Amino acid sequence: MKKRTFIFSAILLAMAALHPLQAQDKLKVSSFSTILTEIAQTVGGGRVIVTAHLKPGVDPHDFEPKPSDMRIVAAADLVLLSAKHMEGYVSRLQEATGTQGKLLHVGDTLPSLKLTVQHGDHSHDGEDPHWWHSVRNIIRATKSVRDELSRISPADKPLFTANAAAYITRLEALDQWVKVKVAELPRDRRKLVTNHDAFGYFAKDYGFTVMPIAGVSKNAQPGSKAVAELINAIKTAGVKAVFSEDIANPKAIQEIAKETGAVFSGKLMSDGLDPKVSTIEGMFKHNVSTIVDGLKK
Amino acid sequence: MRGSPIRRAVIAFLLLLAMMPVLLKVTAPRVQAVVPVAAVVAKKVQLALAFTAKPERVAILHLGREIWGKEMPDAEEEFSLEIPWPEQGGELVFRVDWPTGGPLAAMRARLTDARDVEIERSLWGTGPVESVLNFP
Repeated sequence: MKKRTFIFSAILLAMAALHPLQAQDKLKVSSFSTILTEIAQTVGGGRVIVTAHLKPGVDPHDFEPKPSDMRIVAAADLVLLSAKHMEGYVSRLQEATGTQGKLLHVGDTLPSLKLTVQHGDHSHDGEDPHWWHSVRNIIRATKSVRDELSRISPADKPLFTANAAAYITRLEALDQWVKVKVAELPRDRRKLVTNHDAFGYFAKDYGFTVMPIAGVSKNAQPGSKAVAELINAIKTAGVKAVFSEDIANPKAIQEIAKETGAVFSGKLMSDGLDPKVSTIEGMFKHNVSTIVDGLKK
Repeated sequence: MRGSPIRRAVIAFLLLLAMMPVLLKVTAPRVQAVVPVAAVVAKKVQLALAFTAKPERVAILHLGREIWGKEMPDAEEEFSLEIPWPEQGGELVFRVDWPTGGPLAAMRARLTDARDVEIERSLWGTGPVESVLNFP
């Protein structure tokens, strides 16, 4: 009898121990953007497990999910996408995984800038996908992620709201820091020459003119006529510094620097976070300091 | 064409000589005129500051350099500065240190440029505040 009571009590205890564990099941979030990974981890805190499918330093323009990514997406509660046509694989991802998780196209909730996309010998109008170079867009994206997590798990809404509010306060301070740093540069020197057309949102927010060598993708090769025109434009505008990007080959921009007399002033982080600078704040501080200090000389 | 070879050569040479200015112009490398960025000269601008609550310190930065600062300023301050100020306007960074934990305070800045154009901007905050004001 004693033995039976002991076993019964043990089962009851085990059930009681298991129950809170089930209640605290974490939300599974799949992220296809290094920027959204930071946002989801910060807003979700201890209530989410975020899988970063796109790792820092990987070019999102060229990324394709592997079968191991598909398995994780299949079980996700929320799938975060950069959107604005960045993830060309998104319909295949949905079809192949059959995920019941919500696909949140974060970029599509944000205002768009138009640009010309070059495909071989023809071009068409497209959307600039690099929305994360605007702190204001990152604040908007944080609100989208907060709202979606709260919809999936209403009981955690107070936590997600508090985490998002603290993060937005930090982002607003970062936006102020960028404005103060940019103010070190006279307005007529705010001209940004880079490898590809990735800094449109940054330029719009902080009063720069972008002069890219290539189009939206780093794979786009500039024609000799375009390079000659850019060299003339750099000379005419009196641009003092040119920049390359973390993933791109800096050879073309170094050649342009040699031709124009502008100084090659370092690499910018264009397509998300990298292993050395792995936070959004770090990315802005690196990019803005590199740009302003380069153009000030 | 008749005449001695020497005569023909001399005529050809003279023709070429006559066409030289045109040939030089046509074959000269095209040089893109580089328009230098216009230098912005230092101009006198007038500034008037008014505070709803007196800060412990206020400083103004232009292009990253502190150009004016004052500990315990009066509720209203008026002064002029000589800075490179383009006709289309510029930016000033204001660092205002209101007492930490105090109520929300405001500062009004009125800038009058060399052409007597007046622009007003406001800044709100509690504790230390750093903000860029655009004129215009």
